[in-house]
Amino acid sequence: MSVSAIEAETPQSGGEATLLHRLVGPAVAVVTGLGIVLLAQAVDEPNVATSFSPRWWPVSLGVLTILLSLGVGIKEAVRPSTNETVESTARGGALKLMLVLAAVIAYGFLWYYVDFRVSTFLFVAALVLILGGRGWRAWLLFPALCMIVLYALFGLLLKVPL
Amino acid sequence: MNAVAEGLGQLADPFVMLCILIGALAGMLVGAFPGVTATMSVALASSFTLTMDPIPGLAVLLTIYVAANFGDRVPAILVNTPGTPASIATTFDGYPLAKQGKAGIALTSSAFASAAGTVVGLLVLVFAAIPLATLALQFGPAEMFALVAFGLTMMIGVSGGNIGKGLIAGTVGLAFAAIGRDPITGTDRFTFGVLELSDGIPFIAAIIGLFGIADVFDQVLTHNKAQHKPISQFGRWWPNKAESKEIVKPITVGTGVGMVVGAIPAAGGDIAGIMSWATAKRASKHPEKFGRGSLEGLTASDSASNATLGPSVTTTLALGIPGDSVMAVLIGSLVVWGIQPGPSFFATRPDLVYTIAGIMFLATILTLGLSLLRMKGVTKLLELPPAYLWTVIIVFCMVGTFAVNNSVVDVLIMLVFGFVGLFMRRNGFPAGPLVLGLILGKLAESNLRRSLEIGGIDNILGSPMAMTILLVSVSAITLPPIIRTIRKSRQAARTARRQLEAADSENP
Repeated sequence: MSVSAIEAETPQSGGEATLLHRLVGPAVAVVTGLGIVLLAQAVDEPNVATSFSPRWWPVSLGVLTILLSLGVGIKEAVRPSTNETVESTARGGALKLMLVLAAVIAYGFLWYYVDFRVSTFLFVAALVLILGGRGWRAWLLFPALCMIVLYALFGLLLKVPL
Repeated sequence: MNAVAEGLGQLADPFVMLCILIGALAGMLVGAFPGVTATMSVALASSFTLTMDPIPGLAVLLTIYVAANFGDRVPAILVNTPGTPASIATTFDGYPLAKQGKAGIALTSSAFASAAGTVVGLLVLVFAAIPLATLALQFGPAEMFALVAFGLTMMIGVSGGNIGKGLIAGTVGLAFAAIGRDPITGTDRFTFGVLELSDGIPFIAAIIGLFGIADVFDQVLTHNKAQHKPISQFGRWWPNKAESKEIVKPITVGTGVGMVVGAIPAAGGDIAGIMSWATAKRASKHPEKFGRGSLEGLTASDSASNATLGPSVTTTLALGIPGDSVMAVLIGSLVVWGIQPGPSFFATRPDLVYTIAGIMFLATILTLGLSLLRMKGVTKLLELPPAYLWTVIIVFCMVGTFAVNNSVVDVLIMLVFGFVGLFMRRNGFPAGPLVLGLILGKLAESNLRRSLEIGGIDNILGSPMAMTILLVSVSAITLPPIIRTIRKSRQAARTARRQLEAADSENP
């Protein structure tokens, strides 16, 4: 039995992607390639003449990215891959992720103004709350333990300036 | 003999032994938690170990590498969830065995198979590393560029899935590697005036983002409350005489497959495990048991995935091409310690081959011992709500990344790559080629430009070694879809023939 046959038999959750979803990836990749080519034009040329300037490599990669992405996009539109399944988003998953990101940004700011131990305790408590932890152990004990371990390991043992 | 004595002598330091013990405990723990990969844990550990001397630091990282490949079998067998990708094939027979009340035998047999695979794989490191490095010293810029292309295309070709998306990921990774100073002229590229980007994207931050943060974000996005409860009835722990005899052949098959796959840059334990399972099934007297609780299937896959470790380290150190994603992180740490992997590595430090082999051997023995301890406590750990695990990973990733260079820019880069990694996962782009492109980009560019400057394209076309390697690289990408198409059409023809025969027999 081949590897792909074995993998095909392995049950996978989720469903087949829609056309729009299948084209998002290649579209973003095309934009990325264009971005690389455009940004490469701002790279300074050296005073010493060389056959291959510092722009040559990124421009080549940008063009290659665009061509590959167009190829993948056309293939996805005409003959979509059957071995790709997308694991569906859980209810509230996107909201949780946004809240996690907000907590991370808030932690970044708080760390500048408040002692590491306080900001980390609050950050861990917030994360556990967002991710579904409930009860005093989740909101008090666990954040305290995490903060102590982090401070001991990084602040005291490794002497990182926190 | 001097190099052997010197290399092994470095292990006599009690601090190194302590580092191996810490690495073993940490590695077993992270391997046992689904969602915490060996790559993530080695990347995080590298932020601690950078302040240590190279030998103790290597002891921690390599032991985590070995131990994580032992620990990952536990959730694969008890919860049907691989602890790391290398234990995917363990679930095929491990979980069915556990459901039959044979979790104890499964865990014990798997531990011995993993240990056997690791030890045999280390022989490749001990005997092949220095000859391989000596051969690679003959390589010029054209050959080195071809080798880098080989590493990239192998990762894209053997990982399955969409090859086009793999190529895109690899190309974008190469482009990311262009950030920083031009390797030939020293001109700044894509730094936008940010000083921290002059030396390129901080590699550890990118890896932690791509493999750690992206993993957790994806789990937050897709996690449903319903999940397997771990098996808690273990039954008998030790295999009897017949069972012990039964597993010798699949372990032999597994170690052979693992050693070959591990030597291929970028092909890791997951590929080896699956290939070995399939090979052992073909060679077995009882193929019908595979997938339903076969000790042969379990031990073949586990010995194979662990047998890749030694060859993977060999390729990484001798050629400077990472054998898998963990090795990619290790290269980053080695460079910070002032040790440059590649052909000259073993020429200047031959003793390190034996030090590394010794560390991995001791790590294997220690981890085997830990694996054989009763596992009942682990089921409690596996019942831990994911909220705690995700929180620990996120906060450790942030603080750990900051600790590498005391830089907030690194943390920002980690988060950016976290979202890049999440986007890639949700859209079917493999992260491995991007990481490999990031690591190998400067090497690829500098060698390609040098070889073209020296003698133009003829410099590459005229090198038999470079052309051979490049032809193999092209085959790695073009052959899998061709083989798949041929198999599909043969399968369709067979199905049509059967239907015709069935119709003929109904209407004679």
